[in-house]
Amino acid sequence: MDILDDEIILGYIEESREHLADIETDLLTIEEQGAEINRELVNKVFRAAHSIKGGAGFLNLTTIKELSHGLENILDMIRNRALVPSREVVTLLLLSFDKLRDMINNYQESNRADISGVVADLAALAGGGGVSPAQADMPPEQPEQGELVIPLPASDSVIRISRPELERATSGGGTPYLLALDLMSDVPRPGVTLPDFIGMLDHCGVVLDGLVALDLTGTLDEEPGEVLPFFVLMVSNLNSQELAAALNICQDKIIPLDESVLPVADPPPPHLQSYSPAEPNFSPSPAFSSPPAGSDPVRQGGVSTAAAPQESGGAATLLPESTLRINVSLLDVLMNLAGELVLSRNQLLQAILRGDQAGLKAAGHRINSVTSELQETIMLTRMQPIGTIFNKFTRVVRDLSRELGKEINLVISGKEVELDKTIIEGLSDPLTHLVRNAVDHGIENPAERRRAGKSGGGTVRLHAYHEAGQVIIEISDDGRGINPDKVSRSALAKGLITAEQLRLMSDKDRRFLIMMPGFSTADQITDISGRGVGMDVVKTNIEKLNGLIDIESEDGRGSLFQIKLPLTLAIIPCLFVETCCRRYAIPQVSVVETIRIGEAQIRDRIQRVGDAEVLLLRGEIIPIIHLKEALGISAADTEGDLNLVIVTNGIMQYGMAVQQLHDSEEIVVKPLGRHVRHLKEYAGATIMGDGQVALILDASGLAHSSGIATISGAARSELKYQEPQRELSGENRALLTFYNGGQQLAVPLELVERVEKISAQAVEYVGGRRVMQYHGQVMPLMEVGDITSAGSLDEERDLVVIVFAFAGREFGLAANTPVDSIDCTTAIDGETLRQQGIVGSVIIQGQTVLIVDIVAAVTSWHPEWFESEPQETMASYSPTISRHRGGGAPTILLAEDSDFFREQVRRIIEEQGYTVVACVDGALAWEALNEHAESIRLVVSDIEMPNLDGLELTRKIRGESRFRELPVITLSSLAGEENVAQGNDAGVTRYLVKLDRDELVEAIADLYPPE
Amino acid sequence: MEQHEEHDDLLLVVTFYVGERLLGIPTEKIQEIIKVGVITDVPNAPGHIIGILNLRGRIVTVIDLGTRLSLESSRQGDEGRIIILDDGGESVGLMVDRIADVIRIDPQELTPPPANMKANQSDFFDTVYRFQGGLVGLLAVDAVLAID
Repeated sequence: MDILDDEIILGYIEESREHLADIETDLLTIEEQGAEINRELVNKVFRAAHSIKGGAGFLNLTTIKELSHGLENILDMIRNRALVPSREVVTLLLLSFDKLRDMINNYQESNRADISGVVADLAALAGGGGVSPAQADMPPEQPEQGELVIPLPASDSVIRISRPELERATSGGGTPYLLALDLMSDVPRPGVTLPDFIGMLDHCGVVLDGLVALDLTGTLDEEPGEVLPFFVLMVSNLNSQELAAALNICQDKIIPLDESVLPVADPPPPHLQSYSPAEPNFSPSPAFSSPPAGSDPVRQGGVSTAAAPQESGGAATLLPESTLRINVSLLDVLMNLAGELVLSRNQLLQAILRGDQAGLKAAGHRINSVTSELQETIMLTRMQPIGTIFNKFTRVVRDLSRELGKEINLVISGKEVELDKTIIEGLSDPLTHLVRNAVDHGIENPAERRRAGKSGGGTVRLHAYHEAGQVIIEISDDGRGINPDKVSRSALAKGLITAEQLRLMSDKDRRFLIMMPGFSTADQITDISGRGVGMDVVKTNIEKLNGLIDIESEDGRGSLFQIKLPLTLAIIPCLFVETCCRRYAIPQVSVVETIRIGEAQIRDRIQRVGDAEVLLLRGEIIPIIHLKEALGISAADTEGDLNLVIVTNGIMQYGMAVQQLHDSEEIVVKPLGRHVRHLKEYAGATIMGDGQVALILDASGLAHSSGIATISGAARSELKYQEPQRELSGENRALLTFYNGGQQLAVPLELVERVEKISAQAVEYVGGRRVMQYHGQVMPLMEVGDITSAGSLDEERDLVVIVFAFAGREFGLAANTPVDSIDCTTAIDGETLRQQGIVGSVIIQGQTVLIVDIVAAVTSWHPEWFESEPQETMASYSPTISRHRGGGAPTILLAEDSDFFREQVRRIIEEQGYTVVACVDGALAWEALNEHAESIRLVVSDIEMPNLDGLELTRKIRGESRFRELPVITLSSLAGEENVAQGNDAGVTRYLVKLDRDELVEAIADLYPPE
Repeated sequence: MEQHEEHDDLLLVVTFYVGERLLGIPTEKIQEIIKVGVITDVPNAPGHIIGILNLRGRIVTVIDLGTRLSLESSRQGDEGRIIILDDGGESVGLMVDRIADVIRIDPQELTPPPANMKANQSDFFDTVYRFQGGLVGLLAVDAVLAID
């Protein structure tokens, strides 16, 4: 009986899966609430079971229908407070929904599935006795409240529908109809397949129910397949004549159901009672071993037909990721953008035809902004909340902890964080493994916990949050932690490492051994988590998603597994490097920093340990590979500076020597073909702006293929003793250097949002000001010559725009290449070369480089940006300003170690009329605070400072009762949620990100206590 | 591709040269034929992989057919072309030295490859066809694209 179409059934399966997705969480909540049921929630689960039942009836999935019907009954009882959702009840419901899910996932076989046990249990629960609904001597089931029973002509079967459902359907003025069709003669017919016909039905109205009357298909003795009655209950606005025409069927097959035919109210009219015994299973499931007493063989014939598995169309396996639900509003946006794109294309074509330069330019801009927006919106359609996988762990933890006799509380947060669908799917397995591990190995049993002085119940936390353009997922437990000694003993015993290597490893290194392939401690193999899938597989899976995994653990206190993931796999920011005239992209997620070592310094900073080259960087020993060698490219060695990209594979950092560093760009990742996919060195390919293809390097794969993963331990410690204590002179500032004509200049890297290549044509003059189109907006553009006496840009050379953000707006600084980021370890000289627009100078590789005063430049060029503050705000704090203006004693204490930032912040605060006492570190600030304890009303502090950092300073302040109320604002470039939380713990009043002038001004105005 | 009634049973084959050798691939297996553009090499890839290229936004792996067939490398020359084949949803390119004609072949006239062909090469040929006094070897595309 090939009556089902793949598309329809796939739609049903998809929808059912969605219904089932949240059910576990909902049921567990229902269990928690016990007798105090949340009607809405029970209703939600009820509706899910109801919809699944409805669809199953339509599609002749009898077993699914039967089980969902049983579930529906129980849920109805819970809803009507006839049954308390106790642990046992919910366990049965969970089991039944599991079974239902299995059957739906494997719908072809579902009619053959044995559900008798579950159904009997459900029925027993519903009846309070042991009566199975399939038993023939079951008392006639009363129709549910408000249920309509529609008898089918010449059949024992009925269609049941709830009155509200029918009323909803007819509320638009439509008439209910019963269509009595024959699947042998009416449909399919030439040119109209069954799915076509169902599509036609959908066009004509709302289909409420449909079923194939198997009792009318004839007995086994008869010729099979003579007639196959198919009944459809639908509501349509057409009259029966029109409907017949629209469906191209005989009008006599359409029976309008008016009030006289429809049973009016409950209890049902007596003549319907006789039909009731046939319900609810118009075809008993073959799973029941004994045929219902008194049933005739006709039914058995029907059953065997119904049970014929669906194997049509070869859709034997469903790919779960093949479809995706998208918000309609998002689709509308896409439609609009597509329309815009078409319009812009027309503009472009016209401009080309007319040779209209201005028109070309305009169309170009428009296409530029539309495509960017289109790209962003399409990316959005792939984003799914991580809650879809987090939710399932409630059940996993509940079941597991029960099995293991542990008390475990699962705390989930950050469900709403969205990730690309592909990543979400790929995360499921590794997360399950980590959660199981936490429950099985992490959390001790209650007795052991109490001995260790902890509460008997353990806590497992699942937390997702955004940080720096990535998504972080943490799985933590307050269990026994990972004992590095135990781990290393095991690794040693298995011969994964040598005793020599072990001796040199830090605790962290040793904990990471659990991720080595082949590692699995003997006492670790249990049913729960030792399923032959080790942590190495978790690590590999996460790396496949371009993610990194980190472990932190404290003996006896618990463990934390941190997974860092990109938001999406399809578009990632990458750093481009060049070696031997080939360009490669390195995903930004694995880039730690880039370093250029001048030719003269190479000898000092690069050392050899055996065959391996290593770099000494801030006391760390970092192995180096040459990209050229790692990729086996034969080309002559080049002289000159050494460009290093310090990358991490999650466990260790290493340096990748390349010939040239280029810009960072957002790239679209394309998979490699199967002939080269096995190469671990690459994570894919991308198409660059000029249409050429660049390979994307895989930091882990490269480390592996160059064999550096093995040298690190030994090399590291050998050198630790040789490493001279390198004093960091002055402060450690990251600078972005660029050229303006022939002059090299720098800006603090913290202030830079992005750097992008531009062409000289992109710069326009509007109203005497230089601007450029940037991501669909007009961005003001300046060059260094505008603010200092320095020379002008060399427009012949490559141009870049350095984008800064101030006061919520972006502006660009046009500059010449090469652009580089430098970790500047020498002091910034704020005196000698100070001039207008220049905040100081620094010596980089023997060259004096001027540091541009970007803040002053923006303030003088676009003062209106800072004047547009709402008037009320001004008014509310201007009295305070006037009161303190010119007052002798300092009222605001500023602690900031960077000369540059101290100057900037001091200027911003003083502009507001306050008197500032500025200190270069936390310790001095503490002295100053004690000295001016009377007058200081507010502290503004940096976080990272020598001697006493901002957090410690805050704790010290909070430690003294006289300062307890003193507001503390911290400024930091670390803006992750974790950092903010740390700040709050320390007692910080306001945590601000460096350096948004408006935000700072507002915070000060807000916190300065009015007299 | 329009076929007349009387040609229904004829096979359309694109013939091309690798070195001096004339080879053929049935047109139905060919997606398109492109000129040789910029190919990005993939270090550490197997020897017969020339590299990857951008075909309207798709990354296509390019195989040096000559090296693959243990003939001379077929990569230089202005007349070089890349035959793009569909390999289970992904596009793969075969670099050849020169495209010859599209010929119609009566499948009846195809014969097995000669017995004296080197064993490792005979794997790559389904059949041969006598054409204008010479032989055209019909490539076993699946074998050529297989990963050893």
